[in-house]
Amino acid sequence: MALLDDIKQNVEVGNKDAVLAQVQQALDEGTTAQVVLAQGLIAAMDIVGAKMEAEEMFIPEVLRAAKTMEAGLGVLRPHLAVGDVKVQGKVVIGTVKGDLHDIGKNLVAMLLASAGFEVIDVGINVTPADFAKHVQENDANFLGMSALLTTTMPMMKETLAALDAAGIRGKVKVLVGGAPVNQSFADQIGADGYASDAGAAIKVAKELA
Amino acid sequence: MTPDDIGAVHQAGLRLLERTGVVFKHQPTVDLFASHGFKVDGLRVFMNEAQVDAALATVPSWFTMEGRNPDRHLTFGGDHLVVANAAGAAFVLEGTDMRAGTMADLSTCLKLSHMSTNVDMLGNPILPQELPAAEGYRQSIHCCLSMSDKLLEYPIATPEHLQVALDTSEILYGADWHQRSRVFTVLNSLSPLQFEEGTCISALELAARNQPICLTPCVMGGTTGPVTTAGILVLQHAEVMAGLVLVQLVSPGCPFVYGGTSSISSMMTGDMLVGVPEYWAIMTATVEIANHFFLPSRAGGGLTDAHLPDMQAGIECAMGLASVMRTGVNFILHGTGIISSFNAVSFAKFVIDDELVGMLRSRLKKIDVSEETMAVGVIEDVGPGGNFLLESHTYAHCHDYDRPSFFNRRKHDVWLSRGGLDIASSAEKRAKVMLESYVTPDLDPLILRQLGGYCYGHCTVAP
Repeated sequence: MALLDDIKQNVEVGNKDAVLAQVQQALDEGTTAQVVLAQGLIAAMDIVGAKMEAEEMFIPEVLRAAKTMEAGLGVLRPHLAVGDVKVQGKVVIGTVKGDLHDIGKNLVAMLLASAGFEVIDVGINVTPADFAKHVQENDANFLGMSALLTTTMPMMKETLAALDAAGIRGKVKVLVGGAPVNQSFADQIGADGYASDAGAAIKVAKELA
Repeated sequence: MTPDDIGAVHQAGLRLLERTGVVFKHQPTVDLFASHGFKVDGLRVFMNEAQVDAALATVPSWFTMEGRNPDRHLTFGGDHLVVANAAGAAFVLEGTDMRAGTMADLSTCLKLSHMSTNVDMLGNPILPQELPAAEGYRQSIHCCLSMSDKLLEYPIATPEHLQVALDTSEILYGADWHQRSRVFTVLNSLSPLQFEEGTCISALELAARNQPICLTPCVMGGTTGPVTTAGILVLQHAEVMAGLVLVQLVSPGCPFVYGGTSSISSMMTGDMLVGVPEYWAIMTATVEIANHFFLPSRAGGGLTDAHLPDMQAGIECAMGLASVMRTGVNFILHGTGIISSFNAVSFAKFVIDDELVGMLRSRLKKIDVSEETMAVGVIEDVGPGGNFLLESHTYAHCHDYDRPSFFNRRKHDVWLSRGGLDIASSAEKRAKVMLESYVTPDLDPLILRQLGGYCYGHCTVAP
């Protein structure tokens, strides 16, 4: 359907006004919200994800597409029933204790949200005990931790110990990332997943979902 | 940059300081600004041009750091260049394998730094991963202070680190240690336009003791700063000026270094990139701006995005180092050994960088133009068609040329007969020679005992 193709294309290039109008038009013409969501908005983000991985789209372009997708979803939401939007998983995400750097973490949070995850961003300088508390309170099935500094990386290991101590390590998949973090560090501390950048983080989270 | 460009960047930075302000996440710091008549809103401090000018009027254009060996005192500013090795890496890269750094790696790196004739100052190169953070920090500081008599750039990220710096300085130099410049540290702003609590506390405490502070923003274009090069320079400049004003408020005349290690972010991944032309341009401009204000500068380094000590690494390091050295930078951190951006140390690369720094120092020496060196007499003596090898002028100067310690200068067959080694393999051999010739410099046994007691006091294993 030409209109759904237009929506897809406009999400991809981040043309929010066009998407808002076209999503409304599709509903007015009798297309169901589920179809607009699946064949318009989500289909667009699948293309965006592939293009990001192929290094054809840059982060600012991906984020604009994600924001546009969210705006379109806002129009659809009153027409969607509970369960129409499949939630991939619930993610608690934050920067570890001693580290106040949040750009990378924010980026991952935004992309996770646009990929269909429910994201609870608990901010920066989060202690191991607080991470465990947030996971427990939100009944999250993912925990994402970020560290930019070589000096704060050890906090990831301590957070895993805190999850153990709270008896919830088995209930949550732990993903780690940040400039100094690598796969062998992730393996060494016993994390479930590692991603080298925001695009890869979404892929890893989806694989573990 | 032209003087007009620098003036424009300065004015733009001042506009930010006056209209947007800077957040200092430490109430006593904000109170200090308020008590000096600065406009304050919550934790946000605003500065006007007159307040910045007052700080620029009291900051010295050079200063000398004094260590435990008078031959190794270091002057920052003017035509002086101080090169320090890698700092703060968590990993060691050997071949393609990246592994967690250990105390043994730290020791290896410090031996290389001590033996190098091109490394003037130590950075704390490796954070040992086998120890809990607090013990690892104390023990690595112990290594730095006991294994070399070169001055140390203290890595100070927390109040606990600061205390270790103050305490170890007292052990080394006595109770009145702060009568001289002894503790040198690099502090970072938290771009954009913020100073975290630990940074504020360190700045206040060190400035109160008149110790030098090298304020180094690390703006990442497109993520923690604007995407454009000029915008990165404006934001970096505003943050350096904010730090300068704070330090001069605490202690007018306190030594200060205009630092910058800002670069661009990859627009594909968000990662900071350091092996790129934009970085070299930003670092050159950083030194030019510092020079314009007669401030000692810190910029650049042997930085690369490569993950092997290969040709990519060589090109990027040479460009990174040459850019700032040609512009007259005063302090280079990460001069040798750092690889994979800021994440790892490579011992082979350490030795290659060491050679590179030596070559660049040689290259930057002013050509000596005198009667003796213009050699008109000997050219006339030899005349058309002769040769110079037997002339006493040649004999007298034949050792003047820069001589590499291990780069190849021989023909292919000779090189092959000596093993046909690539640069990384040659560097590993050279590193072995440097390590075997290392001798621990003398330190008063009483001081050494006190230092050991302090740094190892909290753990069960003796040094």
